[in-house]
Amino acid sequence: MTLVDTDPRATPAAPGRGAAPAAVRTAGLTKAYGGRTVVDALDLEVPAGVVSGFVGPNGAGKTTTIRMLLGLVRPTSGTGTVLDEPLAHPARYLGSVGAMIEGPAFTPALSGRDNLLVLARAGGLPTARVPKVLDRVGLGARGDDAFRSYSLGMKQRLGIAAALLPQPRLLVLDEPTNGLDPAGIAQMRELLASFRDEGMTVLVSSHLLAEVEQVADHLVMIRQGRLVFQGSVAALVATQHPRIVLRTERPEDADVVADVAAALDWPATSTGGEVTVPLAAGTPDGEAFARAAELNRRAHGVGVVLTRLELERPTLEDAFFSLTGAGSGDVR
Amino acid sequence: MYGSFLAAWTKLRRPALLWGTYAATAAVTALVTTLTFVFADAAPTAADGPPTPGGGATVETLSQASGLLAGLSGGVSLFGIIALCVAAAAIAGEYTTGTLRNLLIRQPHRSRWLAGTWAAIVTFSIGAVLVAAVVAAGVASALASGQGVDTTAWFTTDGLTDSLRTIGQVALAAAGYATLGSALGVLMRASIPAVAVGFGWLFLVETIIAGTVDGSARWLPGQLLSAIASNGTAEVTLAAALVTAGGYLLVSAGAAATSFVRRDVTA
Repeated sequence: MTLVDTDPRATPAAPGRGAAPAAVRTAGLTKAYGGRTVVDALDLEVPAGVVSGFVGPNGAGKTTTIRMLLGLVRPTSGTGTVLDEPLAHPARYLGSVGAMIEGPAFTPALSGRDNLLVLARAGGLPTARVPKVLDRVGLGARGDDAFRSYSLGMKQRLGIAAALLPQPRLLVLDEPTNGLDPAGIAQMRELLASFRDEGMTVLVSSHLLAEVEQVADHLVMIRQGRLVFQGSVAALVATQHPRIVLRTERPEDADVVADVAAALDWPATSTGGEVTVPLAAGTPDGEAFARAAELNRRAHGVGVVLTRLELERPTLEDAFFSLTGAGSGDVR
Repeated sequence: MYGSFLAAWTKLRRPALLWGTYAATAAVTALVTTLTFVFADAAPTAADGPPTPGGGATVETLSQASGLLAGLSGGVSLFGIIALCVAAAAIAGEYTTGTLRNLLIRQPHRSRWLAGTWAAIVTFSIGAVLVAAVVAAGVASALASGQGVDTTAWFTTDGLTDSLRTIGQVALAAAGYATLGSALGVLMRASIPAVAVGFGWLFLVETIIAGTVDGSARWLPGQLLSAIASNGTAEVTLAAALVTAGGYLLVSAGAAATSFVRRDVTA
């Protein structure tokens, strides 16, 4: 896990011999347009075989980073490898990489099938892959319809199908749930999980943290082009403070419960009939539940009735804002 | 490169584009050929006389070996417009629809993609020329006897050789226009500006300059391509047109290829 609060360059993860297998690894990756630095000395390391969420607010530099990984944008400085091949030679690794960047882009007048044929032919891939990937994303029956007649969800799925054409070892998806309805998002989640089960590495960028939390095992978090965190989702969440939240039947009893907690040397705050007892980061669930039970018992002992007693675990969103501070743009 | 050629043809062969373009080409060629024969004069028009709908062709010139495809030579501007527009729109359209990024992920050798796509556009344009040649020959054969044109010379060895040469030269000119259109598409990255600039310069600005500045047709790319299609003109020989136009095409293709290979793809 790499946790960077102020300066990502303080904890470099430079490519090196003997390092753990990584699908993507960069060192000091930078992109500047004129005087504006969009990606700033990024040291990425995405382990092979995981679903890695690539999160950050809009404009954080996610898409530019992805474009550099895919050979579409030339880095201003920095090095890296993708599937153990140097970033400077994208032709060596793109045959094993599938990608959908900034939404599905296809020729509107062509059918879904013909759009995939265009890509298969351009890449020298067997055209027999086309019906297979169409079936895989559930578009087999609509493959001959014009792309422009597709719903947004179907367009996204065609984008996934295009990314699957080369039987990729690394799948890079930029905001794959954009514009999808809840059912479409659930389908996308299932697809991503199935790709991981097949051994693919999936790098999925999003500004929807709740979505990423549900599907990713690994996380790369950037803000203003700089690395904020990378590591497992569980490790990140473990750095955050869980808390016990209680609500009393009578609002005036909240202060009583806060005093009970304080007597146990558990600092608590009470507002509006609700008491919050923060716990130390990494507190095991068993200990947290035991404390909740003790609070309940003592509250009952002083004649206070609780209407709510809950252990709140920090979410990825909590972790993101605690690392980046409030006002981190469009992350939800 | 061959994969990119096939990929580009997968887009170009969609019926509305392919048959629409070829049908329009056939219709305009039929019209030009008909006007050429119907308004052919019995004797040459005075050099300083007003232009005639038949382009100044006479029954005598139409009876020569080159008469069979007179309508094809007369329609070179049309093929130029088609080639330029198709090329500029096809290449620039990849930027505006965002499909270029997908294509370059599948074919990261950008020069191969560009060469394959250019080759597809050129063959598409040559296809339009071949359709036009068939239509021009058919309409000419149908109208000849009614206009008193003797077709004996058309079907001699010299006549057929002349026809093949005409087709080759018009196809070469169309390929030149396609190259200029492709270069504009790459450099401007948007279909409408690329087509507007190409069309405006080659078919409007050049026409005005060529009509007002003596000798300018020897240096204007569009005029040179027309001269190639016409087997040379009074102002510029075929050889000179080939050399100078070739230079223009090399420079424009080189600039476009360099820009395409080096520039970031952010669309």
